[in-house]
Amino acid sequence: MKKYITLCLLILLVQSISAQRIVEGVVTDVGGHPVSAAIIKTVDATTKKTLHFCQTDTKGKFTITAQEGNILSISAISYKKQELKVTMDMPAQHITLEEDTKTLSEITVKAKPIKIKGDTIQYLLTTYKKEGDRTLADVLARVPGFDVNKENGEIQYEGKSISNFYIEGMNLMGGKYGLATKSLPQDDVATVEVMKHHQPIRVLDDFTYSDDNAINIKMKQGAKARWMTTYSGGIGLKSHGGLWNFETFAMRLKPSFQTILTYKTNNIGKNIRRETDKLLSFDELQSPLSAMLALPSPSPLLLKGRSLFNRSHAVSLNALQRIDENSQVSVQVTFANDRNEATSLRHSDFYTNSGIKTIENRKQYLEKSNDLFAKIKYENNAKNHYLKNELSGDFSWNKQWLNEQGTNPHMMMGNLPIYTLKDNFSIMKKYGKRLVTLQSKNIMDIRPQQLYVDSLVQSINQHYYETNTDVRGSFRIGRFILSGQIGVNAGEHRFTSDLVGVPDSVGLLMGKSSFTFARFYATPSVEYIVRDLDFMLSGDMSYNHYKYSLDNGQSKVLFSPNLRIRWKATASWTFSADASINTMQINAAQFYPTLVLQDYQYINKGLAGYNLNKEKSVGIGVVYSDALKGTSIRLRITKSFGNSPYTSTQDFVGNYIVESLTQGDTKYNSWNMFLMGSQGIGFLKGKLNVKALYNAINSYMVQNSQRMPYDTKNLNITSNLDIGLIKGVDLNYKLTYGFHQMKMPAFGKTSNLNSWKHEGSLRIPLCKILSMETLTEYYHNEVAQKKFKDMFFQDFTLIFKAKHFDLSLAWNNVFNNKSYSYGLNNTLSSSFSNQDIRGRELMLSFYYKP
Amino acid sequence: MKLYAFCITFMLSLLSCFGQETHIIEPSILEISYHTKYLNSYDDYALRIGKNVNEYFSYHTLRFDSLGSNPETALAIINEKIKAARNNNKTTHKVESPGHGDYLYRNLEEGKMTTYTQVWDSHYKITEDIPTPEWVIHEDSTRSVIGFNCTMATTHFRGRDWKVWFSEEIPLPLGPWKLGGLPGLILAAHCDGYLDIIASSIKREQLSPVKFYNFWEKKYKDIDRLSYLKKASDPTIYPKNTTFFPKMELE
Repeated sequence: MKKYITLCLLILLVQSISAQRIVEGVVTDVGGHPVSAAIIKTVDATTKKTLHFCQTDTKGKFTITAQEGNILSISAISYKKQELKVTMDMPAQHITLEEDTKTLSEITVKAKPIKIKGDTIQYLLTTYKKEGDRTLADVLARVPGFDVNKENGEIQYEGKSISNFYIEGMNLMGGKYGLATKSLPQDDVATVEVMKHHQPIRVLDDFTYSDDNAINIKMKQGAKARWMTTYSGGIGLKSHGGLWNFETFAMRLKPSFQTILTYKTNNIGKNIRRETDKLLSFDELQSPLSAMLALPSPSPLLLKGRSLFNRSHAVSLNALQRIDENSQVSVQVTFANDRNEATSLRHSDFYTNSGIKTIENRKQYLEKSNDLFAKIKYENNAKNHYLKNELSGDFSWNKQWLNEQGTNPHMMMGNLPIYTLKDNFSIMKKYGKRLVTLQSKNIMDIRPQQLYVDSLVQSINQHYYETNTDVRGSFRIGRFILSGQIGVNAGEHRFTSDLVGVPDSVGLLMGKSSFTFARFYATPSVEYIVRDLDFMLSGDMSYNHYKYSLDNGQSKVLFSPNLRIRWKATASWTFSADASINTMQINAAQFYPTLVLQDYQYINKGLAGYNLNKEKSVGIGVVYSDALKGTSIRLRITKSFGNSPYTSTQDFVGNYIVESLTQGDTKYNSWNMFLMGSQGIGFLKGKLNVKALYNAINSYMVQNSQRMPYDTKNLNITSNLDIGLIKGVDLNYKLTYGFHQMKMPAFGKTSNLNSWKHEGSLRIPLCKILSMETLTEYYHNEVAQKKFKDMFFQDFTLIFKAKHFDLSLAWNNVFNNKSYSYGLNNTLSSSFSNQDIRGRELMLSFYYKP
Repeated sequence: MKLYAFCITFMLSLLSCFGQETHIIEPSILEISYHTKYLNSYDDYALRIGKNVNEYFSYHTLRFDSLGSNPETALAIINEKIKAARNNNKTTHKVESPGHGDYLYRNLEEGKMTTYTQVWDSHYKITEDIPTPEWVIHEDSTRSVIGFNCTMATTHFRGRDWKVWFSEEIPLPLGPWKLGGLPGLILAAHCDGYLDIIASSIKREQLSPVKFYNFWEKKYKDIDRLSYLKKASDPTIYPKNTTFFPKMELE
């Protein structure tokens, strides 16, 4: 019986297996070429359901499971679909597909039509609002196509995040617009417009693909002005007195314009004088007027604010107005009021051929300054041009007092205002397929200043004007890239000075002069790229005309060529070599006829000389990087030979040191090395960063009519180690070493200064909402020849994070270390300073997150 | 002796690099645009299909690469980046997505898929066989995407669960990124808690050809997929506090 049943089952099994079988085949086109990635399906003839599917391989072959009676379907894009019936004992199939373009057109007809650029869709909000809707976010969520994140107010339209948020055509909030959607009362909003295909810079339209949407909110006529604010602050204690630090941000929305107001104040050593906007202003002209009158004050920015004893206030206002579809105007005004104090003890040694002169003074410094900065920016972003103009003014009223006691006691007071006006204009225009840029940078710098040193009075009035306008363009011809820049650079320096109290025998004490220069320049460059080599040859050619009011002036034609070769050897190694001959620009501020008292000790004397500094340099560079190995090394070595037509002079006249320049070639040569590397360290789960800078200069100066050679060597090494062995804990160790040597062969004297800094920081999460940070600094500085001073600083911070606010308790300088000592080498002199530092401080801060 | 060995290894490494130029591979038949959403960021990708080769890359990356490497337009791009950096804020919607800077090429004749990717300033080329994920088709789940009737299919591919919608009306076993192998083009893909990809348009006319892009003329180092995955996920090769995207492939 059992045998029968098994036999029956076997027969049934064989039957069912034979009904399901493998079909093989190869698919080719009419030419016999295999078609790969064609889709093969076995479809049930009655239900039309796909039972199995596969695709043809690279040789056009396929193998698929099929049952007798199924339909075998073969389809591929741009070919006519074929269908066969699956039969018993189907042999290996050879299927030839015919080309067919009709299938393609059927596909596109079904897809949605691509939208036309420049569309704007308007939604009237009253149609969508309901009882209980308070804010814009509430109503917008109902409008078809819109998605609003109730938590942070962010908006999406048709599944895409919006690229920009405008209110009455103005984009003041940038990425912070979530605050507006959650706070704007829906009663004030009339319509919401969706601007499709929003372009960032229109002149690049030919090259772009953009599907970005922006929305614009239009307010109702009678809407009231609304305020939206956020703030943070802290109070604390120091050894004598209290500490404070507050910041508030407020935004006012009116149908006609948007403004943002911020107010910051602190006395905890935070520098709030300038907004970080300044960081990206590398395309501006800088005034060459150095501080001719300078009090030798102790540095207030030493040790990241530990040495800054301040009382600072800053108010700033930002407003934005959209003029039309293409243009907008933005205004920024900042006013800062600052009061800084510093105290230090300085011991200076001056090396002369008649012995070493030593001065040891205790300095007390006070600075009061008021700074007003205003900027207006106009931007016009149209299809054929992009125009931008930035006009800014910086007015600083600065008074400094320095009281010195010791070897050389005196009282100094400086009234040092600086008024600067800058205008930067640029336009990018499209001519057919070419893009040409014109830039004009202008600056006006006025300094009416006075310096009082005991009974001496030095007053000096300088005006400086400069403009630099150029046109640039570039184009590609085969393997060559040709670029060029032609421009005009002109300026004027007007100088008046008067010194009262110094005997006439020292030199000319009163006078005025002016210096004008005009330069027509062209900077062509040719770049040739072939395989892995990149050659670039460029040159700066200029015709210069100089005129000093007290002589006949001069004209010069200058040429500075530069060659650079780069070889991308492998994916990880890149080598480069360069050579250049540079003739330096003339220094307009060097031309003046009188003596100018710089401080109680130094007097500066100008020089009317038209000879220019020439420098030849050669350099090589190597870069190795393999990011996945966590390695990156960059090395650059440069050797320069310079010829200066002047020599620096130092003359000791009575109690003063007169510094000037004298005719006479000075040759100097220097070595420069820069190394930067980083390597991931697996077993420490960390990373090591090293940066080293080395330079050695051999030069000389003329002191009291005698030539004094001096050689300096400087080495700076910073290394940083991050360790992440324990999750959530950040451990970092940083070691900085500095070596500064000044050799004076004429005296057989060498001044060596070594300084070490060890820094360790740790961040530990104590629990979910509490974390602790510690910072330990240990300084080992050489303060006299072979004498070192050790200084310790320790800070602790406890941070508590809640939903809408953060609390932090900081205990700084736990060991109450009140002074910091360090050494400095100057030309033929060295000094050691002991500066007062902020003592132990306790600070509790609060940050509100709306 | 050591110098000799170093020179030999150096010469050999020279050979294993490829510094190809941007060139046309073949004309395209179809181009599908995909829009991706990842947390607060978005991106737009192109799937450009030729007869034998198809490529997948971000439009924004292509724009930046082509304009940035061209001296005429480089200044304008720099201006844009500076503007974006000034307005940068944690809540800004940025153009970002996992695999944003990668160029993916599938060669059907050879059955190979090549990814050209970048980690900091090092460039890598990963070659693998075109993957064939195991799909489970859910006939009853359908959805309309840009006018096409799509059926849902799911799979577990390289560490992630993917839910996709494909349309048999477009007989191509392709899809966004490395997804493919279904009897129709994948028009939408979703991975819970991770990425959302959806087709936004299909172009048939005025198509750019399938091109190999190397605007910056970089040299690529060959590396195999698993070594790359292991090393790229090592947090020590990035600076402290870098937030980086979880990768599309986990294994």
